[in-house]
Amino acid sequence: MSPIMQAALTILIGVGGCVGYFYLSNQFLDRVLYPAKGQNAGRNINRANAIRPWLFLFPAIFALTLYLAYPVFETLRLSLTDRSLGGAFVGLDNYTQMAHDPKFWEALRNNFLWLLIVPAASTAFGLLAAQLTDRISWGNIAKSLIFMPMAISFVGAAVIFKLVYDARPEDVAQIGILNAVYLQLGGDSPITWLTVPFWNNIFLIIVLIWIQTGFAMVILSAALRGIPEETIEAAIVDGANPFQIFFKIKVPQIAGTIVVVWTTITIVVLKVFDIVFAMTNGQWETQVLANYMYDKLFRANDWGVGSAAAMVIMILVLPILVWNVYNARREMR
Amino acid sequence: MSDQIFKDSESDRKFRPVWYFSRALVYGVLLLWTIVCLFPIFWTATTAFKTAPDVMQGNILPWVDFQPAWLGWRSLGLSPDTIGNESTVRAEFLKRFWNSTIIAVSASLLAVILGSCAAYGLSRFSFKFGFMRNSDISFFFLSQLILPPVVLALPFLVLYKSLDLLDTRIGLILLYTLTVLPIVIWIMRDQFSSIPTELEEAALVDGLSIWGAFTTIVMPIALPGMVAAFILSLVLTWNEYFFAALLTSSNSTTLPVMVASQTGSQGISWWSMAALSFAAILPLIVIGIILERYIIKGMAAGAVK
Repeated sequence: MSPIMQAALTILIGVGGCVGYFYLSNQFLDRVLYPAKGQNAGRNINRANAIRPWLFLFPAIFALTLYLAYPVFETLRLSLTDRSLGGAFVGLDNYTQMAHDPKFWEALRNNFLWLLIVPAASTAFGLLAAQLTDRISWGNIAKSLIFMPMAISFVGAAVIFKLVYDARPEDVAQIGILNAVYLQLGGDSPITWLTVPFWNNIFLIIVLIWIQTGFAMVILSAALRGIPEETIEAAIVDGANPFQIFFKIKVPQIAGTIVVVWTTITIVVLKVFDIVFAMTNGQWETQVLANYMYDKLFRANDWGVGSAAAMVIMILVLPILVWNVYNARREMR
Repeated sequence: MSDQIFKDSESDRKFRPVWYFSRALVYGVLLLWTIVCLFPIFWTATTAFKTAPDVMQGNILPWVDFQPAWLGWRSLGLSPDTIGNESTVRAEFLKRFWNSTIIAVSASLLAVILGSCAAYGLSRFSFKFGFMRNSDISFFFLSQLILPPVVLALPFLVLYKSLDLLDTRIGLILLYTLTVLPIVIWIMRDQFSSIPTELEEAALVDGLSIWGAFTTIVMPIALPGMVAAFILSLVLTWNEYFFAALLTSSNSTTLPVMVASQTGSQGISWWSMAALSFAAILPLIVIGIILERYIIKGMAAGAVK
């Protein structure tokens, strides 16, 4: 069977399954469970209408509960057991073992470095770009160009930046931009940028900033446009200079959006895996937690410690989750 | 020509240079940042067409500094002179490309259908489930966006092994549907909330069922939101790497996995690496340019609020 036929069939089965579910479940409700005839017709119609909304919601709730709840508890269970002992309960042994691993602390330290730099830099650059693109006529073109990295996947970006940071032995053709610039500026031999400890972290972080700035920009520029003109006019009349207008009038009014962008990028950073995995795979002191976990699970085949690392990531995410839900609830009520 | 009646006063004139200066600054900064954003992509694209001496001399502009060559594309079997021949690399590439397309399209479609229904339910009926009400259920969906996928990795591996779904397209489609479902629900909930309920009430009075009202009245109005949700899901699932690397091995591997593993191997020559990288990001750049409007719309709605 040709791939196109297969694709069409897969899609047909999936979509047909969905439509079939909604149709059949409704038929079942109306015809079999609470038929709208006989003695209890009125009551049955009411009952059917009370249940019908859940038919809309059920597949999503069911699927996502499965997707969320099962893995979280399973990971927790795995982190407290040892697979080599046949899954025996070992308490916190995996966690202590992890705490004695210097690689874990390196990953944790790097994660905090990412958390510190990426959201701040992306939001700042995004805000700057949003403010500037709104002021000029071809701003929209600039905006789409700046947004472009966002559509490229993390792996794609990693691959592109591999070419940027690429280094070859001295006597072979260089293809990396950074080395080309470095040699032009009088450097004597090409540097393998990704193996220089500490700074290689920064080089990886730049990749994510490169991607996330576009996101920050589009969200913030929408917010900037929502600012009432009157406030800015009033500031101009009062004799404020552009910097004062920006920092004292505009930024406070979009503070909410800035926080949203900041947290969204923070969440992305906590998930970061692809970039490190594809570029250095955590060598040369660039390990991050997600990659550490992957290493433990699938290279060292140590499910206990790997799951423990996953739990650490989850604990790091938890405050953001709670804070977000709390905030959103307050806003909505 | 009559004389100009109103003249700028001396003190006003000095604002002109300031204005020009600030303009120049704005343009300069934006230009710089645009170059930063585009140059790596440009570099990848041109390197894919370079020969060794061009690379050595740091030639930048095609046709001006160097003549584009098909070196890298030949090794992929995608250059004009090899396109008619059999090529295992190209067959591999196309297979991965197809896998990615099938998986991304089916997962996005499923997510949009299920997500739209759930979002419609959430915006039109009031639910009560223990202590959970409508907004709590929405946050339950939203919270899934925050959870890092790595946390879910191992249980899914175990589950898929026992269900025999490892290295199947169906397995990835199901998983991707779940990963994008929250964001689809969130986008569609916004969309449905903006449609006045009177429209459907009128339809109900005229004798349509709830489903009839949904499919004939609400769906057409909500279509832009659905398209935005679909395209955003498409981009997200097409780009997904982690689960694809984890749950597939040979049969249903997607393009990002192939690109990452190919460019990661030490032996690969730089020209095929550049060509492969460029071929992999090209569809996304095209989608990014054409459908940017929708992606931005989806992201704006999906940003955690």
